[in-house]
Amino acid sequence: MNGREGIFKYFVLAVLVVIIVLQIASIKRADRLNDKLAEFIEAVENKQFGTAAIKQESEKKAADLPMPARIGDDGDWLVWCLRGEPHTLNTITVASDTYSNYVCLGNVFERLLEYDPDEVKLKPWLAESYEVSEDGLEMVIKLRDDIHFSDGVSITADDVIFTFETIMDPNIDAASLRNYYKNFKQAIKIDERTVKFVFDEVFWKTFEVVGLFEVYPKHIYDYNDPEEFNTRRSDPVGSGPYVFEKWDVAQQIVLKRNENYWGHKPKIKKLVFRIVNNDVAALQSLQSNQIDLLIPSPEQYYDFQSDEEFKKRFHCLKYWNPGVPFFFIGWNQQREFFKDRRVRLAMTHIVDRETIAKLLLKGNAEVVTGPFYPYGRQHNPDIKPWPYDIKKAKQLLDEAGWVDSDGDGIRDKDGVSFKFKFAYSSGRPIYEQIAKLLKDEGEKVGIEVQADPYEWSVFIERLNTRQFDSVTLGFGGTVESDPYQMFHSSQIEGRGNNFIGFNNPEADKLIEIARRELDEDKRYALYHEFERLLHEEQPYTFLFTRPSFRFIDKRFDNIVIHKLGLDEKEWYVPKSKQRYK
Amino acid sequence: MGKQPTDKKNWGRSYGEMVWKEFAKSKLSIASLVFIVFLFFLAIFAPFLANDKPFMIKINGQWNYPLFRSLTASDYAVFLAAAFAVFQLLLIRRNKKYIEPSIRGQVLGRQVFVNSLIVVIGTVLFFVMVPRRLDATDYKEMIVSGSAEGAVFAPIPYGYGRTDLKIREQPPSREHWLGTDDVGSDVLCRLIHGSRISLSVGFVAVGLSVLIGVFVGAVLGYFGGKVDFVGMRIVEIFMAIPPLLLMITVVAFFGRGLFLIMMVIGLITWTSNARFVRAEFFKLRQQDFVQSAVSLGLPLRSILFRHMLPNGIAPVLVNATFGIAGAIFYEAALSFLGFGVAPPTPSWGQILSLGVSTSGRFLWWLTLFPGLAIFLTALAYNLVGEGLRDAVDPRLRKAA
Repeated sequence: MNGREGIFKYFVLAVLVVIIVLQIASIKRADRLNDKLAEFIEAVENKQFGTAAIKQESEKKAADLPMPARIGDDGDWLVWCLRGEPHTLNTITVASDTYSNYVCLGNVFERLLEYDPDEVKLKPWLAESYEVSEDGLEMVIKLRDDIHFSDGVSITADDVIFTFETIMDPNIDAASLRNYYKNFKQAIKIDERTVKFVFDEVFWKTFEVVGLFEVYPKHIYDYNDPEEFNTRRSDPVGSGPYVFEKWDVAQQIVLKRNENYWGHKPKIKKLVFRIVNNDVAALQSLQSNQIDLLIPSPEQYYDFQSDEEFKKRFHCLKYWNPGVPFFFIGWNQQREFFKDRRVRLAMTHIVDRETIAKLLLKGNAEVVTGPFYPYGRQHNPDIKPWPYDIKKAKQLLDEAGWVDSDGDGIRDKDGVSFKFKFAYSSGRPIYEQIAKLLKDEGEKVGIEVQADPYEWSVFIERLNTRQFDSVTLGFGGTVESDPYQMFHSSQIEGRGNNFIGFNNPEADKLIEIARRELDEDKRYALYHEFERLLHEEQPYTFLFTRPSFRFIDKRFDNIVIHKLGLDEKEWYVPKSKQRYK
Repeated sequence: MGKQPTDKKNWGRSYGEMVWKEFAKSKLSIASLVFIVFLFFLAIFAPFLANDKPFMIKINGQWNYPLFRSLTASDYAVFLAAAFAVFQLLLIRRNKKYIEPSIRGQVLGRQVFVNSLIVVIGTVLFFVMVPRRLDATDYKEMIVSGSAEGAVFAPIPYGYGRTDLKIREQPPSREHWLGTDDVGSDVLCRLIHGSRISLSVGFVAVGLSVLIGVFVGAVLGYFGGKVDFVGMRIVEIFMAIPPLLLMITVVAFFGRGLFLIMMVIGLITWTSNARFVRAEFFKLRQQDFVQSAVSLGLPLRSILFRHMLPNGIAPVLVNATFGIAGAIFYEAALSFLGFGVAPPTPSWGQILSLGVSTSGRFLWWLTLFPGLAIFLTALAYNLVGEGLRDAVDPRLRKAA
């Protein structure tokens, strides 16, 4: 019995060993196959479309390419830090997701026109030239003849029209984007390289809208069922200098350089977007060299800009550009409290914006008086912000009829006490601090404020359904913004962006006239007047805006601050300092 | 009472007395109990200990009493409840002398019932009658500017919601003993007022969980069989839910109120109580007194809650003590993650979360003090629970 059992044991052991050996061997084999496959794919990608021929052609045309020649050494990666996971990498179906724009815009997808980063004017990019008719109702775009997508297929008028029609398709989830296309009538193909856009009415922003849409390849994105397009969230394909490599959910998105790019190729080989949600963790990964570029909070910037050790390793940049956000407190004018202009004005007087900018944001912020970029031409420089003045606030509230008639310390009118809720999205310390300050200051003038924090998605839902008394939020800026969405009375109904219900006929009129005014100087004069009106009416209490901050690894060179900000496509890393192969 | 009172000298010792004697043997348990009493003292008298309004101030030759005027209905309710709690303790002492042990439990039950009824009615009355008064007059400024002649301030003369950006994030100093937070509020003041939140969350949440747990456990344990089988599977489903995740989800979607947080903690943590009661009732339902109650035809309610429950409640009460510590932890964790009560209501976990600023700077005074408060409170409750468990269950003690 014993002997037999022993033999059986040895037999089992032998089988196990054989199985393990076979397993290892098959793993090795798969690895080798993979390596070969990767080599093969790389070879195909580089050769299939006749890189040599394309190269020759682009050298010939190099002189009139829209971007400057790229200087410096080839190689290395740039590792970004994304503070949240993009919902989708499809820039058409995305609502207002900055993260996917960081990844795709200008890297994977390109646009017909681009802003010149120094002159802040539109210049041709994928387009060779563009022409606007005298009455402003037609725009003719002529495409370059040397442009092609990353897979080698050249870009034609069909792609432009496909992109336009996709955006206009009501079944595509692009409602917020479609807002800008309301006055578009149609896009007509004139020949292979020429497209004519026709509009219903004149609107200055139209030309920017045409210029700034990303051209999608029709042969890849074409769909029968709109759901097909809506659910295509990953694997973007465009004409840009980088192509999509992989998306590891909750970890990173990787783009690699488009070796077939039609223009001057950037020097950096790979863009990696690491997803780090937490403020402190992001800073730590920067310091441990896991990321190269971080957008710090104002407080982080303040703390590290004076740190000599840190400055030796990183560029600490602080610069103004039109993309900077402005923050505000919105007063819901559907509520009895905030219908009266004097009450809103009083509320502005109890917010000590100077001190908030100086102490809470450590001097890295500026008080604003309107929704426009404070260093742009749209902003009216004659308006001075209302001061912090408790006495004046009390006086205004008295005038508006809100007095404490029952001796409980809280102002009231017609039997209603002045108690309101202050909604904000939880998680950002600055909003919470503003809530605490507003509550304290409110008590000083006899108003009871109740902080009302919500998780972001619930918060947005309450905003869209108007279930709030007051709210604080930040909006991103653009080179020139149109206040129609935020302040025109037609945007109150439904889920428009005028969620505070600001309804002022004079403001409506100014917005409408300015939209149709194509002459810049006259238009800016109208916007100055509009800003003056906002200043008097205070539908928002405009808080502050702040410059952009960046911490960038010192090994990157040729970092230039343009009027429009940074352009990482002109950066490079000297050969000796390169970190990644 | 129908019975003739027996001679006091022949009175035995009641169950309560025995438990107390066992409990008092351990110095650690007594020390923990003293600490908890101290915490309650802080919580009850928080407005008198830390307040930016003076007890009295002389303006234009006349004395005013702003602090007392600013007390809210909940303050009065807390005072009332505290007064009756002390009264009840005195009653228990008195009972020991004058009431026979065999009926003492019954009398005590009646006293507790009447007292809590008075407290509840009083609380409702306070909330109806005492108006919410807002008073943000800067009395300190009045003293400085000389418009008031003299004043008596609380030992910590700051309000928990007062902000002052000029002194934000300052380490402990003579003026602010435990430093200031991110908007310049006094940390000590916020800790003292925060004790109210932590203690009330502990009590209300555990109260709710005991209520549900006892009811479910009693029914399951008494009936057994199929009812028990189905019921226990439901209990197990509830146990499988990770509490913190569910809490975060609920709070994220229904807003951040203190009441909601208490409810959620209570609604999640009742399962262990249900299991304790069920186990006790399994044991009890075989016993003679229960059998005789059934054969006498008493209604189910009476059998379950008048006859069986008093004999099976001890392990639940012990478990509840641990539960309070757990609930305080849960509240602190929620606040720390940014899902707690809305600001500026002070909470220990919320102060703790400010301890690391966004730039990664470590503000030790915002971490150490609230952390210590949470730690000591949870420790004290756990030690009291342990002492109680040993006292209630002598078998366990011997084994240990």
